[in-house]
Amino acid sequence: MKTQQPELQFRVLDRVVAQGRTRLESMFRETMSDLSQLSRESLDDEQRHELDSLLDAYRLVEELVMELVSLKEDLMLRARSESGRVRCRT
Amino acid sequence: MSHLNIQASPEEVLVLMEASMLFYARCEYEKAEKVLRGALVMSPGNSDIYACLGALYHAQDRLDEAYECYEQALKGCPSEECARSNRATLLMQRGKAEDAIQELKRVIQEHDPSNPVVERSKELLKVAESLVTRKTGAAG
Repeated sequence: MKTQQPELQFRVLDRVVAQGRTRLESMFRETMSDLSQLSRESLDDEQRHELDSLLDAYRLVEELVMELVSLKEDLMLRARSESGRVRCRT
Repeated sequence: MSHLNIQASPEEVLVLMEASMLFYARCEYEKAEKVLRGALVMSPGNSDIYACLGALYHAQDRLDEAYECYEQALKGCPSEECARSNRATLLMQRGKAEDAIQELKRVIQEHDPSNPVVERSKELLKVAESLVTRKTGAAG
C-alpha cells in the first residue's frame, strides 16, 4: 500500500535538471565547502555519522540528476531527429 | 554529543526531499531513506521530512518507525495533514479504528476540502467507521 506523501511538485529538481549539473553544484557549493573544512578526527561519532549521511545523500541526488539530465538530452535529441525527418518528408 | 552545524539553504533541503520522492515513486526505498536522512542533517526536526520518512517506512511495513516519524512530524507541526492521515491509516492497521476516526475528522475539519489529503481522509473515514460498526456488531 502506498502511503500519502506530502505534496511536492518537483519545482527545484525541475530547475536543476533544466539547467544541468552546474546548477546542482552551485546550489551545494557553500555547504560542500563548509563540509570540506571539517576534519573527521575532530568529530564525535554522531557527527561523523551525520557527515556520512549527508555525503551519501548528495551522492545519490547527484546521480539522480545526472540520470535525468541524460534522459532529457536523449529525448531532445530524438525530438530533433524526428522533426528533421518530418522536414525531409515535406 | 552534538549535531553538525550545517547552514543549508531551503532550496537544498527541498531538492533532497524532491529526489527522495522520486526514489520513493520508483520503489527505491533505501535510496529515498538515505536522502531523507541527509535532509534531516541539514534541517533537524523538519516536520515535512519526518512526514516523508514516516510514509516511506509505512510503505515498507516498518510500522513502529513510521509511527515514531509521524509523531515527530506532528510534534513540530500539528497541522501536517499527510502525517496525520497516514497515522490514522496506521492506527487502523493496529486495530484502533476509533482513534483513527478522531485523527481523520481533524484532518477534514482543519484543511481545505480541495486538498487531496482531505479527499483521501474522507474515504479512509468511511473505512474506519465501517470497521467500528463491524466491531460493535460482532461484540453485540
